[in-house]
Amino acid sequence: MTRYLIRRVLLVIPVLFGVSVAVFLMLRLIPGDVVDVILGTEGAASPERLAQLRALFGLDRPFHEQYLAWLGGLLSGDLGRSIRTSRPILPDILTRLPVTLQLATMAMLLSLCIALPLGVLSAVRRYTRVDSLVRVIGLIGLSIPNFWLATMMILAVSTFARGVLPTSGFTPPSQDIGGNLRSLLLPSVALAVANMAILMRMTRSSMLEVLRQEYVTTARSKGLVERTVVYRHALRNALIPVATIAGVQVGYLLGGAIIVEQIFALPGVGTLILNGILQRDYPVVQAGVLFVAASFVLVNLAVDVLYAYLDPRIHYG
Amino acid sequence: MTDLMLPASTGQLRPGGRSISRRAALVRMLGGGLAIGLAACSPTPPRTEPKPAAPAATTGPAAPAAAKPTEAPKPAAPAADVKPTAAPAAAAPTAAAKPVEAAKPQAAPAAVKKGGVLIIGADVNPVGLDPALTTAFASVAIYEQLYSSLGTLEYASNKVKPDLAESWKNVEPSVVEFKLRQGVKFHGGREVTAEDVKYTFDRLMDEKQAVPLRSYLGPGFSTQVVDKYTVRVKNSDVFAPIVSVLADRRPTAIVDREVVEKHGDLKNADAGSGPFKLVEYTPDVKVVLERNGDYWEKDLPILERIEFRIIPEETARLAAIRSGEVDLTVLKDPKNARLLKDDKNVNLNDVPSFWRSASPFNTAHKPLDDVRVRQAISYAIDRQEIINTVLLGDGVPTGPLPPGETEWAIPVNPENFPTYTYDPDKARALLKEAGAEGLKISIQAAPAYAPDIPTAQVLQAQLKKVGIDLQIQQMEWAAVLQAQRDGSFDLNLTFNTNRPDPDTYLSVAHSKSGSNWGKYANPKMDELIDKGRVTTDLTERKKVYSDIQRLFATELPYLFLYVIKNYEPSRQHVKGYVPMASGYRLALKETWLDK
Repeated sequence: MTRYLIRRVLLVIPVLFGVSVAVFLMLRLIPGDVVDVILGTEGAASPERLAQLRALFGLDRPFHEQYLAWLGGLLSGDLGRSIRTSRPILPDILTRLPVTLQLATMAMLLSLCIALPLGVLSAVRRYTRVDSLVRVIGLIGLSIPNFWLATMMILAVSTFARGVLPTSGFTPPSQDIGGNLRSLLLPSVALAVANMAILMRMTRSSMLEVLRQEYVTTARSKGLVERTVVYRHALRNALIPVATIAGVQVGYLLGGAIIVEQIFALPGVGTLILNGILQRDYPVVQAGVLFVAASFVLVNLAVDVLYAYLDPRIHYG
Repeated sequence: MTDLMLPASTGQLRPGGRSISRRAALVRMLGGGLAIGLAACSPTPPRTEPKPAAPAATTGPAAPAAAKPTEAPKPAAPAADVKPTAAPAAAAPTAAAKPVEAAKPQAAPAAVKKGGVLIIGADVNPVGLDPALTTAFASVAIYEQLYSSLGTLEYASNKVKPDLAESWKNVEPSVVEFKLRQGVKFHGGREVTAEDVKYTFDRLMDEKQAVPLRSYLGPGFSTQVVDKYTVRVKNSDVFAPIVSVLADRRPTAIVDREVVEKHGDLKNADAGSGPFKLVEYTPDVKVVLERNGDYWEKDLPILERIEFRIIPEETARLAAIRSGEVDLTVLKDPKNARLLKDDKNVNLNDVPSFWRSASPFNTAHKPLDDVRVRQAISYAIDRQEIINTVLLGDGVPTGPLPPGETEWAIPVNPENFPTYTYDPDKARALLKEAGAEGLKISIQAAPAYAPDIPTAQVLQAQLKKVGIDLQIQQMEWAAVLQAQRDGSFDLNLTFNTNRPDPDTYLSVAHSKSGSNWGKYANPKMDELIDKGRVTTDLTERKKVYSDIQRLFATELPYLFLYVIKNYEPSRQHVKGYVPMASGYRLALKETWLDK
């Protein structure tokens, strides 16, 4: 187990390296750079002046030199400063990452709390009205884009339940735990809905498959009550594919957080990355994406370890 | 990804391949219907504009000032009251520097209440607060409160009036001498002197700084200190716009050298002498400002604090102003502004802005080099229909100068702007004459500004009627900017303004201009623009710019469509606030809260 863990952690390194190269290149391939954005629509500039400004930010050097310089800084713990705001990047990310992670965690917990019971219910009572209802809910949840839902929730709260929940902004937990949870409630619901629908459908189909297996029939024929059969024998096995999907979904939650953070004015990494992209603030986007990628990889590592708990037959050697 | 940031209402207007024109047509019908419907079923008379409290109203009841513990050391009274003669003499050489109108004493409506915290819902996170390095409006909207410039602007007319400089005059045609107000202090406590002015302007000219608007300072700009309170600026050639450029507070705000040297730049620092001081700047969350007790204008500012909360999503700002979470905010989408028109707790504060929807014609791409083709496109466009559809009527057609620049802009009428008349037959005839029937061109637009994509869609439908196939290329903002610079476009739709001088608006058509994106070249145009820059006589200068505007209207180096309105809704208890066409919030120092 320990050796497996070490191997998996070491594998994180090439993954992050690949991410860093990909982000670096993609950013430079999209049209428009930071000099275009700084000058805007009204900044008249000769080609010489443009070249001068690019040189000022080191953008005139060949890609590999720029990349190596950045990587060198990265390895020594220096993420550099933002081109646009001159702020050191690492402290900004460290204050923002918890916001994004808390949002993604709340969204995941929320979706699991709803998806698991409903998915099981739907499987156990398959082809009944309850099942149909759950499946329709799932379909609706899958079809609603989170940005639309977020906007509608803001409108609804501000019209019908004015002041009940904050519609924008973030309260740090250090300041007020209750306020913190309230400020993240609407955003995490907006983020959770699609994820919840996916997990619910996964739970249902996985559960259906397990319930058809012979050991379940055996358990029933032993005379166990249905509750024990479902929860003790079937659910645990049915959860393995659900856990896999949930791990992958973390990536979508972190990605979706970019939009949801923007709509609810949450100061997370997503907002930082989005503003960075719009401003072509290369070092900020590179660092932000790297941190999000690292979070994603670590969560999936945790899911792999979780398998061993869910299915004792799995051994890592 | 940007399109997702927009309100859902504009999201539905995104082009979707071949169905664009059909959808655009549907949208037009819906929009038009909605506009008519709303107009028909809203018999309520237009709400009275919030009375702009004259400056006198705030300085008038000076009684509470006696109780003020921190009396500024010898604060000079507002220039307009003390030196009514200084300004006219100084202002004669340049147009924008017209005599300052003394604030008319008005009956004070209610006693001004001092103190209080004003919460503003800001739409965009400022990318740093350095006046020299950041021209993004989100940044201007905050640092304009921190800094003072040599001059400032009157709220309604946008005319230049004294600020840090008490007076100015031309000592030579290309040299302007400014007399500084004495005893004005930076927030750090040091007095503002001529050396600081020189340091500020030298910093703008420094090659090592990425200063976007340096070209605004004109040819061969330099600064010279005469004595502690006197400073001269010189251009290598006569440059009539210089005073209005220096008074506009974007790059030319006077900064404290010590603070710049301590921080490297001012993106996260405050080196100003303006009415408010920087307390806190947390990106994407808020910016907090506090009253500058040493501000030179007596009894100003009135508010104790201003808190800018960053709320990028328009719907969330709308919710915040309706619920009273914020006292003042900004809206972009006319559909959202409409929702507030009947809200008794909110003043909409809408004024026509200086923001023009405009696109250069790329004359390097045939057949757009043919003036007949450009004219045909203009004749084929029904500007009023675009305004009614996309802006629900909240806009006005514009020439190269926005109509709000009342001193300079000539009226948009068929006589001045013949090509603005909607005439599809004439358009077809011109196209035929130019041999450009079946023309196929593209228009680039970014969803970063909500009306751009819908405008492009209406243009597409209108041009189709005269046989022009207009392809919409939806791009992201930075990509649009790059395409502009590279000249890789036919039409390139953006929102822009070129304050503060007519020269900065119109010189984009000069063949040697660095922002002549469409590569338009016309000796007559160059000659007139050059003439406008060196003409210092106001009447003559106005005539030159009228001629240039008429030439724009027939030659069409650019396609100008409309100006939008600024919406700055405020809660009823916000008093003394005056919205400005420029979008500046200079009146915040006179704003107070009646609660």
